[in-house]
Amino acid sequence: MTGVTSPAALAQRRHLLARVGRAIFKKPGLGTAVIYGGLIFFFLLAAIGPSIGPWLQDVGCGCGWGPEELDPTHSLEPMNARHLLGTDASGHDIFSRLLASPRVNLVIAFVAAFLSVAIGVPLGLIAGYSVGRGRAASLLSELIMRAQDVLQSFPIFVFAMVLVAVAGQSTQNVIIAMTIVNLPAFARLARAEILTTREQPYADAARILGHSNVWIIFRHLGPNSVASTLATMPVVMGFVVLFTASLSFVGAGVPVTTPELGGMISRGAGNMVTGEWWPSVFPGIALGVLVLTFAFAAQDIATRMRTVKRGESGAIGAVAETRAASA
Amino acid sequence: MALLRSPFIRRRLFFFVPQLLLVTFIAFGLLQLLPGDPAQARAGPLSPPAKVEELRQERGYNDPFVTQYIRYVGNLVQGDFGDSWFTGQPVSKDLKERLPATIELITISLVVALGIMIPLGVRVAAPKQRGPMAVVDKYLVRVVRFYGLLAGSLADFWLALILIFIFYATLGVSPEPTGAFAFGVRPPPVTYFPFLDSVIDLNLTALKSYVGHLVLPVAALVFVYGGPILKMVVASMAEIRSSQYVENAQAMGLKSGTVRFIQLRNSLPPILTIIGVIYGFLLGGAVLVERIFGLNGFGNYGVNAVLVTDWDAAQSFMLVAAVWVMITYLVVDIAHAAVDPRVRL
Repeated sequence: MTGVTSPAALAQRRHLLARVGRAIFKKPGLGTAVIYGGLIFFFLLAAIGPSIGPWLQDVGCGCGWGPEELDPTHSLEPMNARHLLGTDASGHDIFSRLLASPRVNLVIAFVAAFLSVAIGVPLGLIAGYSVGRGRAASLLSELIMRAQDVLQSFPIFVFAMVLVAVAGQSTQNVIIAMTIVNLPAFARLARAEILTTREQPYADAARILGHSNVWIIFRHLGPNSVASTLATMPVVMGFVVLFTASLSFVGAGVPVTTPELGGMISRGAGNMVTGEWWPSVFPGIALGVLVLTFAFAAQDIATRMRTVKRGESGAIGAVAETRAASA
Repeated sequence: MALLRSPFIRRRLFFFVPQLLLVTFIAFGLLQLLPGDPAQARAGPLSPPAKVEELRQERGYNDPFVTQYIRYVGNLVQGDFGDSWFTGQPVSKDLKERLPATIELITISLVVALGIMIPLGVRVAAPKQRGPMAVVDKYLVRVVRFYGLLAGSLADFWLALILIFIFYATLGVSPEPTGAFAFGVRPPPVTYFPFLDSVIDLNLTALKSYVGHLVLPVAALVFVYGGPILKMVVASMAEIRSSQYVENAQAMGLKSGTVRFIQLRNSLPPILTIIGVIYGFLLGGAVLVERIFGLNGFGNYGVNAVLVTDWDAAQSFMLVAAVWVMITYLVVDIAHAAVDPRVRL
């Protein structure tokens, strides 16, 4: 479909992500069920995780502990009935702390990813649209991108540490640091996309109709340029989870008392050398599985997007195509 | 040097100095915002107010921001990075002592990663369809695909801890994770590159000790950061393989080795980019692995500087790491232009 500008074709492009979403429901399969089931599981955990331990306590289970609760006489114990996954050096119950931890990681991942999209994508769209539109616009584009270069050339880890040190240790400030760190990637992706969409006939049509540049960028080209950018969001969220954990690992992320996966690994790190592996290994596995789930979801979305985009060649695409054409 | 006259490279070089200035500005400005009084930190918490005030005057902490910034850049140009109150040395001396260890660590890791990932990627991008190796290749493709995702999902510091637990605490085959050398065998520092120093000293014991201490950190880094390289090699090679000129080369009856070479050359640009990104990132990004293995390198220096609010040191760390990244990217872009003439425009 080269240069088709019928309303149907437009509608179809605009709803690429929606169609990918539909494709996921249409053809689930076991792998898909595991991936998205896993995501839902982690979201549930983020919602109710911190209260599971206390709840177990309420119903009279000996294994119920609050995530912050200490059992100092049973510190560094391996797994047993009292502490299902053992305790760390200060006597925290690892099981209940593990249930409580993903909340902070997920909240930071989501908010930071959305904020960096909200700021980075418009910057990238403007930069991409301005290339070659006169001297001033080209310069603006070049300035935006070179500024991103500078931002990206900073050693992100210590940069984030400094940001958090400047603003104070809190979840909110970690989110701000993560947003700044991830901005450039989204700007770059959006810029690359709009460089191709702006060559489409409908872009020229909108210009001929006399629409303002802002309107063309955000109403016509934007929605058609962001699908693949948004599809990378799970990857970025996974990265933010890892990064937050790394910050906590050196004690420069969220406040040390907050249950958080990196902080848990850090607390157990010293015991690892002497052979007590459980305080570090369990949160590490949880961290790995969480990020891996995001990675799988991202890959799944990307694969489906290719199928849907290719249109007639895939069965799912054909269905979506017919539906869009008849709509 | 026709390459340097290409518009692309010229544009890149033109922006290099302004970018450099912006980097110094951000590094300087950000650190100014750090809480705490630099004069007090430098003088020590118990020193009398008069002494603190004197220090403040002497170092110009009361001057306006712009004056301080200009003085800072002026000092940088002369190679003066300030003094670290924490180590009690000029920062330039600290950097000279610590930078080499990290550069060596990440260079060795990168070379090992490339040595494993490029052949593996080339193989996986064109799996054998027939013959006895076909089954092996089929599973190799799956393993590689899973590894690609896994490598990006594991925290390098956690992997490092696991390696220590398995190979040091449990099996006891690895030396203690407390530095680059066993106690007492460090060769006299000449270049501060541990490997070079051992060679210069003709000290086989030190060299052995160094290699032994380096196996685990390099393994952790290669596992985590080799993943993206492998993914890129596979993706890039597979894309080029389906192109018409490769089909043409095959149809002309060229040897499969020759065809693969053409393929690899044309799929280089994205691979170079990812290598550059990773090499640039690692100087300031191998921090946690350095820390866990007690390698007293550059990353560890930076993290400590922030934790103890050692301003000059933290500033210099960010500056050096950022400049390192910018130079790496510049080299990558030039290499990019060298392998792909279209970019030169």
